[in-house]
Amino acid sequence: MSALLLLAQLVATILHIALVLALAPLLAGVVATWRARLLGRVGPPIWQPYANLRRQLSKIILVPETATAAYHIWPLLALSAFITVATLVPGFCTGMVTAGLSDFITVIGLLALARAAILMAALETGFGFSGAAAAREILFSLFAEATMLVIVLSFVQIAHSPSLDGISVALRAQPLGISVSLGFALAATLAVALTETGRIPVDNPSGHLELSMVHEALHLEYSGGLL
Amino acid sequence: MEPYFTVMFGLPGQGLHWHIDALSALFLCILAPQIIASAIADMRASPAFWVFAGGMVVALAAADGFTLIFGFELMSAASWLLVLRGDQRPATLYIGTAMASAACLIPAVFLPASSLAFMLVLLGAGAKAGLAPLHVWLPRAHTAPPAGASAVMSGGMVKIALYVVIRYGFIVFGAAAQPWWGVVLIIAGIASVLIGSLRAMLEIDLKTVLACSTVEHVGLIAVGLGVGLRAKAMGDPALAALALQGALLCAVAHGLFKPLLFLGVGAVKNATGTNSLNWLGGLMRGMPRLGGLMIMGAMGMAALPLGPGFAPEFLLLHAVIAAAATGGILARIGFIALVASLGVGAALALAAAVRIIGIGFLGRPRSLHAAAAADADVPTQISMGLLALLIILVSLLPGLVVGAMVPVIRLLIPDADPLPLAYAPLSLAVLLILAAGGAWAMLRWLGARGTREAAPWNGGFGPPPVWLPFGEPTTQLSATGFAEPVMRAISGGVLAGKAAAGLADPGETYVLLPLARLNIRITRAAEIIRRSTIRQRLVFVFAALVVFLLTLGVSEGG
Repeated sequence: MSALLLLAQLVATILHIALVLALAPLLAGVVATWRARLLGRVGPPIWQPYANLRRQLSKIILVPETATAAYHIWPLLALSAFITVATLVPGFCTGMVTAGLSDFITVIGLLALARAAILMAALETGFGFSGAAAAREILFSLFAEATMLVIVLSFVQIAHSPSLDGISVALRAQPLGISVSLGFALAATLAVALTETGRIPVDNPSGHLELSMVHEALHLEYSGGLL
Repeated sequence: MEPYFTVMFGLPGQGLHWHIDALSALFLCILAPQIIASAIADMRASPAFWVFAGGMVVALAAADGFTLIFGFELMSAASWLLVLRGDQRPATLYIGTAMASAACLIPAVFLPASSLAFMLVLLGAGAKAGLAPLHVWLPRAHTAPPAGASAVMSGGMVKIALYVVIRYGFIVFGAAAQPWWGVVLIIAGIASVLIGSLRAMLEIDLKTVLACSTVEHVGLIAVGLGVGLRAKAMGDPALAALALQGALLCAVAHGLFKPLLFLGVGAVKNATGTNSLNWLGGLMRGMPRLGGLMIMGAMGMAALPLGPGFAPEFLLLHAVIAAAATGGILARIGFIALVASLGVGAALALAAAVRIIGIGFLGRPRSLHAAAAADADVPTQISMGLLALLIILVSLLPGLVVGAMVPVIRLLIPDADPLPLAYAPLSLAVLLILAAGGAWAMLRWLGARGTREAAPWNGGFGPPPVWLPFGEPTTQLSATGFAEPVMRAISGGVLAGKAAAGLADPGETYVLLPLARLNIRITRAAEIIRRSTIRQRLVFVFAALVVFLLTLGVSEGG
């Protein structure tokens, strides 16, 4: 019985990871298309990000001369930290194998790890644009981190469980009602998400001047698969 | 039978009493690796260093107040000699602080358990540990001596001061403990966290960055102790145990990675002749082994997962979040503010660590010395490797350390039932390695093979001229520039200084300078008395007699 349960959990986890990873580019594509529609243009097809990924992967990686031996490590580290976060956050189902690990603070720590790796990548080659972007990214991260922790606090107070899995189970079980603190938490979460993904009030993903970009400029010196 | 013995030396008829319990044993374990590592690296020939280390051991093994003070002052005096070897000016400030701390500590140790006594202990030991607002001396004094001595001062000496706080707050004065003692500790701790991490982000000198980060970690430990003390006084042993686990684990981790970083910075100074981040850069090429070790230490400093610093941060945050559900509305608001401040502190610590590695070890060299740096000498590598080995152990198996701490927690909070750690880095590491392996395999399977070296794109600018092999150094972001957005956005309020005038620490503006002014005023008043004529002096004597008789008369009459 327990072996069967474990197997079911394992299958659910693997399915979840596959779904998250497969659908993430689709989300980016949908956002780009809707953005173009709202601006009155036709916009790219929603599967454009998949094509971009394939094109980047098929290119040879250019390594700048000024990069150190750790040049290849940072993108891999950032990507694996993001994948780990994806396995921990219950998106499509709860009660996965990884539920025991999915402590909110661990997730914040993993996001910080990914951010550190991206900042290292930006400082790796030592050129002005990516460095300046890194300096600005640090400032955003200060406020994002503090906000995230306060959000955690309010969720933990409501759900009496520090793990993401427990929180989502608790939220589904209780009749929610209209809660002021939940409303504020939602607004704050949205603000943090906008900052972390580099969207418009904080940053402009489609900017064309290197000097004014933050998120896109961090990896200016990367190319091919590592990008 | 408890290990307890006496040496007939010291106060007449009393002798020195020795006693090692679980708490002292834990701190001896924290102390041992860093003393060994520093001795291997560069300090084994210095008698002052061994007296310093001996003083710390005496303070830890003490069973009575006199022995404790004896060891504590031995440690202060010997470390003053070490500071003096580096620089004269911080040594004066340092010995002044040490004397002030002794003046608070000596009466406190012999007072009966009371709030006054604990506040004196906190003032005395807090000043020695570098708790805000009495932390100004620390970034100056810890940077002066040779690297090995800095390492033990930063990793060990502040721990001895915190040990005194723990010993008196939880054991000696434990029965008289009040919740507000904990609140005082928390406030001092969070102020240290914010000031320490902000200055660590802004300072240019590598050793000063590390010393400011020590202020931050002392603050983190103090926050944990404060939450624990408050919970214990309010009768919540489970929460107190959680907070103490965080604080003690933080002490263990900090005692490993901070000496490692200090030794590494010493090696950087040996190789390049400077500790200024603005003259370094690209050290990873010349010093790859040192760079790898430093990344390990920096991970601890930034409290990243799979580093040694994450498990304590995890426990502390959980303790503070749990504490936010206790007490009145004011306490709740205070704890929410505390969580937010801890978040800002953690993000600043991450930034400071990224800055050390990113500016110092990655990128292009900013000077010829940095370009020509060679890897550290063998003893330094051995000592850092030893610390790194222990760091790996503590970061992957913090559960074992927490398990070993159970007797300590039981000693401090008799009715506590410490829980095992909820954070499992081993399975997290497995998950991360699986993810990295999967990503790498996907890259190899789908992507084109091979890499090609090319000139950096750099926004389309042309290649540098041949006589500048690494390009123009000033086109690279400097350490000052990296800190600039943060400095503009928040340091104006906290550090109250213009960028041109340098940083002004609030501890300096609001504590040290007023004290200095008070000193001048008192000296002037004393000078007026000293310069008075014979008639004025006779008036003083007569007035004193009259006041004395009046007091006597009033008290007798009443």
